[in-house]
Amino acid sequence: MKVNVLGAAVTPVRASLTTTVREMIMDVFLRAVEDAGVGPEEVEGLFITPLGFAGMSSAMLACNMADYLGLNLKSLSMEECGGTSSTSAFHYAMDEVLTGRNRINVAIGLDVKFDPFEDFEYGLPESIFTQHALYGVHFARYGIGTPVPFYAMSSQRYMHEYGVTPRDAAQLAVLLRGNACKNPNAQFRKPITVDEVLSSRMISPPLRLLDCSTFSTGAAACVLAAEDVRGTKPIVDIKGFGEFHHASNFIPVRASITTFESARRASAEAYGAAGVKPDDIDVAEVYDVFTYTELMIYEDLGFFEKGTAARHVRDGETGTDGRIPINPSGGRLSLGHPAGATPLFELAEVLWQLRGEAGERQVKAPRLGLVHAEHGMLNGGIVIIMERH
Amino acid sequence: MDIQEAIRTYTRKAVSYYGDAQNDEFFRRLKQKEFVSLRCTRCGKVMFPPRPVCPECHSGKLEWVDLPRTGTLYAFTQQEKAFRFSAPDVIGLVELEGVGRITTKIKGNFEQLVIDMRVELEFLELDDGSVVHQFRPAGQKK
Repeated sequence: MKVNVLGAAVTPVRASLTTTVREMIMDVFLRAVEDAGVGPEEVEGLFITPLGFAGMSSAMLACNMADYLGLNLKSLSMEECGGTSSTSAFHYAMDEVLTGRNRINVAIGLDVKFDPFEDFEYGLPESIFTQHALYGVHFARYGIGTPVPFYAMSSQRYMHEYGVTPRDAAQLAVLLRGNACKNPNAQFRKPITVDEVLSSRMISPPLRLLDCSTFSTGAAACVLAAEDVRGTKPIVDIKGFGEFHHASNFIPVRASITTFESARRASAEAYGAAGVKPDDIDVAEVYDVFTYTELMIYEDLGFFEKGTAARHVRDGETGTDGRIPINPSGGRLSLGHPAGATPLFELAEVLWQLRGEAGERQVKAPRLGLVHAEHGMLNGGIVIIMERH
Repeated sequence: MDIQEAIRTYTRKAVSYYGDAQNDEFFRRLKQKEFVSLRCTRCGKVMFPPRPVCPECHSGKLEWVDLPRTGTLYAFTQQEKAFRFSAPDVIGLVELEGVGRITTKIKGNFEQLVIDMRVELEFLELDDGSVVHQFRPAGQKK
């Protein structure tokens, strides 16, 4: 049996809320089912993420939303797994179609940028609990409150092991910003230069401000359906799926921090299921939260040999008119990064690209698209391959 | 409640939720200037940080062993915005023979650190009386 990706919708990515959370969810839900060409009452399963996995508690928001949206459902759940939260929601939605239990499901990812000090009375305790749940009681003692130092050390090793330079990383940031300039949903649309990246504020060496993605606010929804539910748009279906979680969280005690087993194994499984090779992919969206990390992910997904991604980026191969366009949306660095929703933003971009609806940033006639998501510091990953028929 | 007191209170509470006896013991021993972790008596692997069951073979038969007090600097960075210590806060991964890479506070000037340099353990006593481990370039005066 096949699963069709029937429709998708996203909000613009912004620094903070421009509507309420429930309005945001309702907005992407209604636009996604409209895009899918089905009625809201036909939806049998609803799977959402919390409002940001690092943010305030949102227990029972899924139940609240079933009421708010007026949906009688055969499946309803909230899914959380860090950066792959919304792909977990997607996974559940996909499986309920595959088992034949449901015909039409909607997965929704959302994130609201969280500032623990803004609402001190409630925000700080919540933030301290999150920090301990996220990094563990051991590392919390060492004052590591964001994943940035972990990614910085991984980036330093990548430079050390493969001779990658800050200029290499900066070129990627500039390319992604160029893509975002053509994306009305992107948070960052002012063109930047390599020199601007290289002189931006140092955050955690070697990572400078413009090497980093930012916490953002936004929501994205997708509609998955049985293969006989066809809507009105060109048919895109799921051709391959892969998932792998390594027994580590952030820094592994022994495994490499420049080659990520999760991306390699999840993509190998997805390529195998789809019966395709990395070279067959026509467009990809990857979960790239820092420049150096993004280069490593390109390699671990099999697009380039280890240590060579920067050279291929420099040669323009990953641009929207290149051999393998990657992150035409602007990527996490320039589209913005509402983490809980990011993978479904990626999926929406790939869907539009495959249907030829991506406007100014449209890549040429793609047939196969790939979506990659990860959590921790690539300790776990999910890869989805989609095909246009 | 003032902010520092709130941080202490909720940190204690979070540790009571997400910690374990092995974590408590690790920091109790650090206070006594002991640098230890658990070794699995079945597969022989030393884990870090300690926990109730071996993550390699899932045996619960474990023993406390001393960890090496010198190691190699595998990677390092500094947080320009430090959450617990004053900035700039240098953090590193130190490779300990027979253990693996541990995340640790580093004492030293960021500019003078290099990958693969030898580093040695130092105990850092904090204002609240607790002790954490940090590493400094080997052979330097305190």
